[in-house]
Amino acid sequence: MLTNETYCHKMEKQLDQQLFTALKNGSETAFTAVYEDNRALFLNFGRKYGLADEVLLDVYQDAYIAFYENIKNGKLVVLNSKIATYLISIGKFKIMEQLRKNKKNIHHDGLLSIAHETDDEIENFDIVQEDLSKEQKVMQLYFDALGEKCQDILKMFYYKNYTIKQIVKEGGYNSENVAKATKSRCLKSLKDAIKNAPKL
Amino acid sequence: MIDKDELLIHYFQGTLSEKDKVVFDELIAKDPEFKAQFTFEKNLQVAIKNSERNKLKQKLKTLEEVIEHKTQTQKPSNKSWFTPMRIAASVAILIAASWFFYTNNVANNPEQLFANNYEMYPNTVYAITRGNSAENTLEQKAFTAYEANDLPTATRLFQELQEKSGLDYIDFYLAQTYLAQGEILKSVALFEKILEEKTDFKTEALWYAALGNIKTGQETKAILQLEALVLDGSYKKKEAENLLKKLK
Repeated sequence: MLTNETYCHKMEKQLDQQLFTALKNGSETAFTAVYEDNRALFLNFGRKYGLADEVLLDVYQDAYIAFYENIKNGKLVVLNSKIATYLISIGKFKIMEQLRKNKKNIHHDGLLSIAHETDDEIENFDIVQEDLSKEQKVMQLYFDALGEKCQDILKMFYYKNYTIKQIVKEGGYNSENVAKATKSRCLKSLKDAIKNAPKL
Repeated sequence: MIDKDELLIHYFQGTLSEKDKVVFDELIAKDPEFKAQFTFEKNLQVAIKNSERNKLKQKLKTLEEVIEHKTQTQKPSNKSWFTPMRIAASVAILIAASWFFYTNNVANNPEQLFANNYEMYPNTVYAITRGNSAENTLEQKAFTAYEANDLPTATRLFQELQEKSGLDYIDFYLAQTYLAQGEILKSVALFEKILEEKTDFKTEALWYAALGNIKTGQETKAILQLEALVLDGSYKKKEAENLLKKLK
């Protein structure tokens, strides 16, 4: 027989799993729910580092986006820990990033131990947020102006890391060759648009 | 012959074989055209990521507003708020805020575009007259609350009406109350549902859906909706055209 505690634990795990699956499938409701559910927990966790709530919320949003991205790009396939654990782990990394930026408190004992490592569960995650180069900024401007069809296929390939097979299925293309040709054509129109761009 | 396109595809999908990897590295070192193409695609990957990240960030900021709003309305009202110090503080904040807006020249940012164009739609369907107050139907109560700007009550009553009545304009007014209370995503979902139905408020719903989408950073959707509005031409055509100019 299950004790009450293990029963609760099991329910929690099940709920987490459901939310995770919903997030993976792009559910807006889950996106909102998971954000709201872990917000207070994260703020409580982050306050120890002496950051203002305003900053912490910004960090929480970045951590949440990173978590979501790693689900979307296929790096997080199976949920091995609680969602909250992932968010805290990424958040911890982001807080360190923030503190390094502030160049504050970096010799604080508690911080040193975690300043240069990430928790195991996010070891393979893509969480570093780099500043864009000038070329990349221009590229983003012109990417945002591309037609929807082109944006979609490029997003599937470069962002969601779909295989060509998946792109054929998701994008409703007739064959792999058609999908590849579309991708090449979209890359070319982007390249041409940038080439013909007025110099900024 | 080596298919360079295939090599790049495998690179980005992380499926380069050991043998291909050697070829790939050699091309990067010796073939400037290949290297340029690789750099282009690599930059694109970063750009797309950033573009998606910006959209998500915008969405979370809007969500944060909603949460803020919720916690504020839950607090009991406090009359001592109107002390001179508090007023002075608010004025200072207001000045700082306008300065911030001014210096950042954000006249075209989503928040601003929304604020400049948004106005709650007036009650045009139910005549509330003093004479028939004995009637006191659910619909009358709902629209009375709506006109009195008692939004939480209006929301509750419209929700009830939505379940009980077949009136096709209830969804539209319910969505209005969501939007007015900052529940942008909920309101947009409902406005967009209206677009698929046969009601008198279709063009109006298009306008409000577009505004909501602007606020949540869904620009592509907003542009499509505004274009549809301009084509239709019967409601807010000029405003839609103006917004389109700013969005594109």
